[in-house]
Amino acid sequence: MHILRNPMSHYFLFIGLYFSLTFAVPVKKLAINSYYLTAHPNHFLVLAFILPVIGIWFAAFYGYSKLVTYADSIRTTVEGKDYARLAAGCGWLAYALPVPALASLVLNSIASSRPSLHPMAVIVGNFVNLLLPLIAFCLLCNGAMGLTTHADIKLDIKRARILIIAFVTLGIIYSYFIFKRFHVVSIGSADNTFFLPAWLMIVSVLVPYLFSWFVGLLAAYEIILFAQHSTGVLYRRALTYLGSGVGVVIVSSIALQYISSLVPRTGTLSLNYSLISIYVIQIFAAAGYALIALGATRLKRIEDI
Amino acid sequence: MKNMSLYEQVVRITHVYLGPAADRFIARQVLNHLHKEPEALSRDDLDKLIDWIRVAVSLLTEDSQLIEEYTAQLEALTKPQNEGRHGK
Repeated sequence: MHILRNPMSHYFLFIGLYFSLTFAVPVKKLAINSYYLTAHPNHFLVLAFILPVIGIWFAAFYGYSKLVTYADSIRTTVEGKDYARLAAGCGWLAYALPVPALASLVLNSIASSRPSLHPMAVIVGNFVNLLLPLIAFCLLCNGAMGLTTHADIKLDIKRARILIIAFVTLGIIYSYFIFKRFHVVSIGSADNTFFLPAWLMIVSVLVPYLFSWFVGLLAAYEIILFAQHSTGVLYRRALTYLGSGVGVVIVSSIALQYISSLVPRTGTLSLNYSLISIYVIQIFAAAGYALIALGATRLKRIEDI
Repeated sequence: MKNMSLYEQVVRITHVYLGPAADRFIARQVLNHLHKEPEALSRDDLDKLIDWIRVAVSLLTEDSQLIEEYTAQLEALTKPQNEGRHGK
């Protein structure tokens, strides 16, 4: 694979950018005063927070690179296009880790020097957080649907009900937490943590998120179904790792969006339940990417021997 | 398995173990180790092919019972009762 197309090259590019921006952006005076810090120790404090994230990104890009390699090796076969879509979907999810983080660094830095741009930073940050996984889930759903169709595997209605109940519960709780942040008297104004009036929040954030999660959950369900019902004992064993990995990555990504979108980024790092939850979820996502790498490596070996 | 060529019968047995990758796997073994087109597979090649398959599958799994079960099914294709029902 050409170095420019290699996902690991992109990973190192993102790491370089992230390190550079972390040290280049000015430190908030508020943060320095609150924690009694000088600018440099504050940067090192931030670095301590981002080092685990860099490891998680590595797992994501490594899993993605392995899946791309496998999909490339079978691109001329019947299921080749579907695996290519799965690989592309996993790729968008991998990019969905560094891109919002970098965007957040830049946007919050701008907002920090020009407070009037803070609403813009929150709104753009929210959309970046939404868009990449939305594209990823659509690709993953198309890929998973193609695989189950080619293998003539039908959706189990009884099991699909569990998926629908999970989605409805997720959606209602999410809507509740979102609207909790709106004042009933000024629901039409943008005077809230999202800087959007309620109607625009529903149209541009709530509905796309719910659609994205439904497509994501459906993709996870179909890929696990395909892995369970696929023919070939050895093929199925390898596919189970891949399917479980994709399922874990999708669910983790939904959970990550769920928490991140409920609490808009402020640009200030604080050790709270939200941050700890984000780390725990990202560790799960990394485990999912490790399973993808393992499954894709085993499937590739079948094609190599 | 009536009216199926020997190659198709080998692929059909392999499908139980390697699923959609079975056809590609057998075609590769025939091309790389027997140096002939997959459809030109004959009963004389079968013993050599089974040996190569045994080596290849043992690189994919350590489950010796599964390997034995798979190769036993392939070996059944070489037995006299199958004569006259296969292709070449």
